[in-house]
Amino acid sequence: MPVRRSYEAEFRQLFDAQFASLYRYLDRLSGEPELAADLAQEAFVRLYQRGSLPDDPRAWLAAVASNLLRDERRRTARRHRILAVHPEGAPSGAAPLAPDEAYDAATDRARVRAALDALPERERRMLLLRHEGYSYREVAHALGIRETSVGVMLARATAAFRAAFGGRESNAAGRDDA
Amino acid sequence: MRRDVTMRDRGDEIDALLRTLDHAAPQVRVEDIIARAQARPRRRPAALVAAGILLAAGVAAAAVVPSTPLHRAVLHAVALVAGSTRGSTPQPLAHAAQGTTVAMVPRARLTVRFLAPRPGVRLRIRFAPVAQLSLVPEGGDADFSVGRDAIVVSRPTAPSFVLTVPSALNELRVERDGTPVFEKRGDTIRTSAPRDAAGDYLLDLDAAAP
Repeated sequence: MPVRRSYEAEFRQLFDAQFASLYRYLDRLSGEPELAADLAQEAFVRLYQRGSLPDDPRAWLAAVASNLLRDERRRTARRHRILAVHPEGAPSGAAPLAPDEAYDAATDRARVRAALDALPERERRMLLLRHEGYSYREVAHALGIRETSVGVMLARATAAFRAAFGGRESNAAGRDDA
Repeated sequence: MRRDVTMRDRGDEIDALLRTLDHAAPQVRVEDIIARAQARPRRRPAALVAAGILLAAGVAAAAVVPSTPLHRAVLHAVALVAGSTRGSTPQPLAHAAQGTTVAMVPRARLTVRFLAPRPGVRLRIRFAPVAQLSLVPEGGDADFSVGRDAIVVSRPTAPSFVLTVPSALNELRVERDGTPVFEKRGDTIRTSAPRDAAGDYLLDLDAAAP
């Protein structure tokens, strides 16, 4: 497969700059770090096979990776792993915690995961992309929506996430009080 | 101003919450990604493949159905690309590796005229159950002019030619400098040329006569 040298250099540069970000987005989206790693690599493989960089490479990668995840979900009907139930998925760079702290951290992660999962698919992706540093334009391209719609939809997604997380926080506090 | 600060604080708060989900990114080398991409056959969208098949089928159909606008358009387009023949309505269809090949779907009759063939030039005439007539120079080249019912071959440098003729063609006439050397009308063929084991006619354009 003939590939121009300049393209390969651009690809390498993009990979170095964006692989970790794409992986993080997929990890947050899927809740499955191993799957996220596989899909992030697959998205870059397909980008390389494309032979030229798209106009908006970050958005292209996010869109392809999201589609790969959706296909994978359809194929395997996997369920998200809740990190509180599967504590082997420790957060990155985490220092060893005392048992109480570890329990609290796992509980927090479970609440965040549950709040994310409560969002509709598109709002979840939008929130995660935005908090991964994507511009409105990139978010719009990645999701296939109009750029002018991003602001309103993002505000709605943020409010929904906060409400879901806050509600669960309230419920947890209520249980603690009882 | 206060509102912006509040929104930024809220954004930072959500960032912090999302970070609790993160895991360390795996160490992946770009060389491994490139190697995987190069080892894999390139993907083509199914729609593109289907469109290509349909286009090829359409062009093929146009090439074998004479006297249709699409047929003429295809011939014209190919003639523009080939651009190597002379005459009022040149219609060469392709280049062969060893020279120009003429291919066309004839109407009811066709005349092939050889002008000033050099000594020893031979012509093999082969009838076959095909729709398209072709004239292929072997070991050299020639100038072709293709009209509606005639092909003119001039300045041949090829020592031999193969003329493949649709069996269904009603009238065929081959001339050398205006002298007919082969004629077919319906099922009647007039020529002095011998036939080989395969049934092809072998004409020596120096000597052949009907």
